[in-house]
Amino acid sequence: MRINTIFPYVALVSVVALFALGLSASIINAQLGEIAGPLNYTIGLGGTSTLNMTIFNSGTAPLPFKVIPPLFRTAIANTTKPIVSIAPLSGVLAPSQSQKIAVTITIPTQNNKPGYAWSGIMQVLETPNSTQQGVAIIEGGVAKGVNVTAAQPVFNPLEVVIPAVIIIIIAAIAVLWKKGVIKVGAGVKKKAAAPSKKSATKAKRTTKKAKAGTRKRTTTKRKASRKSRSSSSSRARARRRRR
Amino acid sequence: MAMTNIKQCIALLALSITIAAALIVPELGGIAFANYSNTVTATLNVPAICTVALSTTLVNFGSVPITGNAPTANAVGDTNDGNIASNILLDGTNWISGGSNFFVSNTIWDFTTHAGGVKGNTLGLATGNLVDTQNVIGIGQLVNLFFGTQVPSQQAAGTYTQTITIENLC
Repeated sequence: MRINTIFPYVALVSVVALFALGLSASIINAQLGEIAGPLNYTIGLGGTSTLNMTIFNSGTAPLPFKVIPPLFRTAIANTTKPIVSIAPLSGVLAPSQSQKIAVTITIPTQNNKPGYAWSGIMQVLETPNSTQQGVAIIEGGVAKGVNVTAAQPVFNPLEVVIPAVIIIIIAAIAVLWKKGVIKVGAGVKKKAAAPSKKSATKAKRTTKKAKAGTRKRTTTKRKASRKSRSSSSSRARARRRRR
Repeated sequence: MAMTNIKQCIALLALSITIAAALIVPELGGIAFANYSNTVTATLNVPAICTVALSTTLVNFGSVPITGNAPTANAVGDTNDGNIASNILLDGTNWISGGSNFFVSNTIWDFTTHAGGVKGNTLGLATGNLVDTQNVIGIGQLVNLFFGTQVPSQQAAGTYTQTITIENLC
């Protein structure tokens, strides 16, 4: 089973190696080369994307190179051009060496809308070593088309998740409060249970008044009972006189 | 009675074995008689390759008199050793000699030679003004570009230098 699994990969690598060997033999006179085809970007407004350009030195001598970023053009007026960042911008390719050049594009949101498009040409040039004067120095290079299209703004999950979490927390608090799990006035009741000195004195006064009120009530009752007693005694006296 | 029970047990056992065999044998057959002659599908992606190979890195126009023209006869060969056709793009820098300079467009280029006079196409400045020569180089093909220059009137004497860029776009 292991052999069966590995075999396709071994075969593929072998074929690629043989092809690369044949290809390098066929372009032995060439120096600078690249994997052809334009770099096509579709980026949301405010977003960033990186694609690689692969260059190689198929010659037999070291090849110093420099990269010239694309100057974007568009048919639409008053747009803010994409921002280009390239790494590396220069270097030296050893014989038979290849290198990836990362081309990062950012589309500014200002003045741009989805559907806007820009195009430009990025250049990778052999850096001439000549310092000879009175001549035209000839630089060879490979050029690559860079096409950028603006898409809908980039979706930022935090912009949705954070408000959603806040809403859920508020809703949960509201539900718990309704069910009575959370009591908003619990702290106030506790304060009432532990009154201050002023309120304590007020309370004492009110109890005294209340007590005074009860005394008044009791005295009137006593008076009434005394009156009733006196009236009953006078009646008894009148009965005795009649007898 | 005992004999009858034994018979029934044997019959049940035989039935169970038959059912089990009917279920297991196909599975065993699938394992035991599997075909090990797997087919390997090899895939290969051949990338399109764009290259540039120039015949020279210097063009010496010699001594060009003021208001004179260097013939568009200085050839630079561009070979496409890639596996895809490419377009030739050109640009250049101004001619500079110390503090003096004259414009890049004084350099003339064409795919054929001119003995003298201002003929052919003017070169654009290397600030994003790449000129598409509208010439496609086929795979393995060599294309010669011929350069000349003219010196503007009242141009200061000096030894002027310029950089010409020849690029293959794929």
